[in-house]
Amino acid sequence: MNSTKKLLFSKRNISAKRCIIILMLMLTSVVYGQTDTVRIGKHDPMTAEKLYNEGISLFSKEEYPAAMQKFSEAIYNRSDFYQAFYNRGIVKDIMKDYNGAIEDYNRALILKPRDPQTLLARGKAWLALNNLESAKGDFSRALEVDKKMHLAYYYRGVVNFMTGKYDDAILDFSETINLKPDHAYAYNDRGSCKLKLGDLDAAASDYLQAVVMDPTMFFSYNNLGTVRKEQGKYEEAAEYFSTAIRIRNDYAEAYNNRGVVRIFSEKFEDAIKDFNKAIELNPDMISAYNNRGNAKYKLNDFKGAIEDYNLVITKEPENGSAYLNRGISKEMMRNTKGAEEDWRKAVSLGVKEAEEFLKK
Amino acid sequence: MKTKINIQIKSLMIVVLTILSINVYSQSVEFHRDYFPSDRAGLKEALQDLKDGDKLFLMGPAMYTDALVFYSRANTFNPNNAMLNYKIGICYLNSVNHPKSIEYFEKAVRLNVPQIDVYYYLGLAYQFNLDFEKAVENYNYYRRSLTPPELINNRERIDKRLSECRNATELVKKPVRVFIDNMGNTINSVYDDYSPILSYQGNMLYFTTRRPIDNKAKRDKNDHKFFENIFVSQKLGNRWMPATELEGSINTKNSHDATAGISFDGQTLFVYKGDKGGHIYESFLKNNKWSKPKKLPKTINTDFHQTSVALTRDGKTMYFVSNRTGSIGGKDIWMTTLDEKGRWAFPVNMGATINTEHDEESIFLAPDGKTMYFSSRGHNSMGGFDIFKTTFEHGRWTDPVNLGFPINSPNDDLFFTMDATGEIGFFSSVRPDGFGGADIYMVTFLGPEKPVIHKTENHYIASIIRPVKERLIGDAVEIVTTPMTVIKGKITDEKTDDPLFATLELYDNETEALLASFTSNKQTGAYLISLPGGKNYMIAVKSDDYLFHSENINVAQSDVSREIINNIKLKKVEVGQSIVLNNIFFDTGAATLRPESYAELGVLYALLLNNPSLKIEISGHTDNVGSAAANLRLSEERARAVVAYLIERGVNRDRLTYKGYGFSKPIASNETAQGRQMNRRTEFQILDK
Repeated sequence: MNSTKKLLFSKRNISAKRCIIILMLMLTSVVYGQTDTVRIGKHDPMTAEKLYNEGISLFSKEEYPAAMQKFSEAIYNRSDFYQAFYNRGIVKDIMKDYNGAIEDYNRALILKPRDPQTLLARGKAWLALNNLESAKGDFSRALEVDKKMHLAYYYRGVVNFMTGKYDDAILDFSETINLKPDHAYAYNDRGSCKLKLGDLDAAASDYLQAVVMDPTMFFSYNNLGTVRKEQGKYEEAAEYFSTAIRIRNDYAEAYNNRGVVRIFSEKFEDAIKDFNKAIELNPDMISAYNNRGNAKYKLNDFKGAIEDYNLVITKEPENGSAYLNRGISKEMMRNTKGAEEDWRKAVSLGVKEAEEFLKK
Repeated sequence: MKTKINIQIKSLMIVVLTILSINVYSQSVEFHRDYFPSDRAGLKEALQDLKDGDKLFLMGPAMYTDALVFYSRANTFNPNNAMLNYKIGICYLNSVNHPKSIEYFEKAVRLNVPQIDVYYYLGLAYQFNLDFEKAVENYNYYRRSLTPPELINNRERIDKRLSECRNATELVKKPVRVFIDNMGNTINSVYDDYSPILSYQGNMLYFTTRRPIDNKAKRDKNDHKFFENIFVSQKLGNRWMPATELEGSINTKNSHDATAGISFDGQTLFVYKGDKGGHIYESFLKNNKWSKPKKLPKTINTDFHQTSVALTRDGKTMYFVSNRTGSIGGKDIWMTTLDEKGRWAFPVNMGATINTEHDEESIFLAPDGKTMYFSSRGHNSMGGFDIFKTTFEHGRWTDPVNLGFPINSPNDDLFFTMDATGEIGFFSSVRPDGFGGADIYMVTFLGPEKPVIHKTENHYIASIIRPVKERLIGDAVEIVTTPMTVIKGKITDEKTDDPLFATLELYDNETEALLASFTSNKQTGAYLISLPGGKNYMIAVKSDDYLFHSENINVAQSDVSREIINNIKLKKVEVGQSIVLNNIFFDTGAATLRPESYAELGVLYALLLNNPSLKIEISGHTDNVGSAAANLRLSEERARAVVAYLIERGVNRDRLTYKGYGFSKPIASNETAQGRQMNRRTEFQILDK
């Protein structure tokens, strides 16, 4: 009993000490604003590994700043601690400090060159920074080392999609599916490539496969709706958008898209309700303002339409489509001069359709 | 021509006669002293207004506006008389202000007006007001309220109205892209203005009006409107000038003279004259004056009613409207051709594709010569006359197509014509924005709808909208005991003792590899480095504008953990400054550089590279073990070895001097092993910068 008490006491002491240490660490962090030299405490030969493992434990509890601190301390105690650099990079990645993450991955790769996992992680960080060339390079290098790394194929597919190399992306997503046949994301993204290439039936097939694999993928239903819209199947499209909304009722994009197909179905009031909802969920969604303007135009509410297009232009002065659309409403309000000015502006912003309007 | 405007007169007159004979209504407040015992004078006046109003009302729609003045006064005195509300409703229904009729008909219904046909008129009022659902409701109610004999007499007109509502519902759903503009008061008047005809150049607009020409203008006894006359307006720039009576001998004072058509070349004007039922005449433009109209031959003009005319471009085919024997129903469109002897052949009915059991009217042949516009009460009219289009294709006229809403309305829409471009048209209609009666409207065709650009939002890439859930974090490691040497201290300026922000580079002296790079704290100059055992380390401390400083730490694998406090003072890059190179190693008693020296030599080389004007002296120093001469020689050879290395790396020899000092410049006591170790050293000194 005594020994238990002592143990408890001793544990309490340790906790108290730890608290003080953490508090001091926090204070010094504030004062110094720099982590490299703030560690205070008696050195323990096992400190680096202990801190590292504590970092992992904190990471699993999603206590990312604390985890990062532990990994940093581990690194101070063992400057060649590859895993600590890697893990700190992962934490920075999660905390959206992609440049910081890349620095850590770089240091990890000095200590363990061509490590595929680190290359994959760094590639993802480059991807997050939209440095697609570097990202693709890292994914490809990872695959040189480990040809069965399905995520490297997947992310390289993503980069290929983003750079418009849809055929290459299809190959990568297909390889992902070969290695991991239940990879719902690869099906979705391959479907997107096919949609971009205009192979609508094949795109729909992939999207459907994606939702079979993972029925919670609301965005795949949204994409399916887009395919059906492109096929002119507006009712079916609206159903898919509705399904996406049922899965995630704050999915502003699906409301916007359902509104668009409702315009095509000539359900203009319903369309406006959808656009209003999209804007309520995401006041920055420019498309919804533009499309609401279109629905109002269809209802002959040209003044209301122009108000919406004005909002788009205020938020995004280089939005050529809004100029084209506003010109159409101005024409209907007998403001021919204003309409032509808008169409000229649209042409200057690369909207070719407006050229035809100016000819008439 | 007048018959087109007042088509409902007869039926209305019958209704009115019926109405006037009925005096007792439930819930209705009668114009009787029992209801107004205290205002006999007011009642008397109201009764007089009623009488005056009824007199005008009986004269037909042309007098409804006048009747309304009296009816309105009576209605102000007694607003709850069912019959008066009913009559006011009829007056409004036949005016441009027809939407206002609804409230009076509705009130008449609430006051239980006994006229069952109030529901028919209410249906008509709603139909005119584009509320087709309510129109159908009232027509159906009217139908259900009729006795079987009444139904026999009225079924046809009810069915026609119901059919019109169905057509209208569809047409209104898909309006055509046009602008409709009233031609304004330079053309239109409070009287009927209709049948516009455009000259071939498009700058003269001829039309028919029922406005009085002068104070002596006479009215037609049938409808109490002024006789028809032709007026003309000229277009100057973009404006139509005030219309004036057509000069010449076409217009007459005591009969109808109306526009009926014009030839393609604009040289022949067809005129309707109301003699003996209505005949077509032609007048020719000579010296800018229209000749006295000449009646078309009897093959065209019969004892029946002939109205509109259209001539093909070659002048060899004529289409005209007549209700002659052989018509499918009412007035039809007929066709005749000019034979070789210049005579019009016996006319042929255009057939059931064009003509219906209802009236057709007002033909216009488009400039393309193969498109015919006409008005009809049949086909899929949305109410009264609508304007239709048919084209001559493959030897036959196609099924007529309704020009659509808002060109057509539930009221009468007639006399369509267009300019040579096909972009502007004119027609006449009775609309709420009119000046009174029928007015002439201009229609601007906007062409196909300009498509707006819609924007969809997609999440093409799954991992962007929902990142991949994967365990990326590295696994936990097994904790093994590794002895560590911790070096910590502060980096400061040698002279001022101010803390310095410096870079600490940790090298493995065996491999020359840069193991890590750290920085001291900016505010305090503090640093801390943990070193695992089993390596010979060099720590190079660098700061801008300062000479680097090197430390050598050799940590054996077997070393236990320890902590070393090592405060480092950096010297400014100044002439005369010297520092000890702690990581230059030689074989014992020899001047051969050991590989462990290359890391520090690399740092020195970098310093010279980055400061190209720097000139230095490398000096060698020994302890006092051995002879002075031997130590002097050894120290000089070692200094020379360092210089030789730097020259080999590319440093200009002019920047380098070397000297051996033996044990003449000790920095520590030679009495202890540690002191002797410190004295065995290589230094460099800045000679010039």
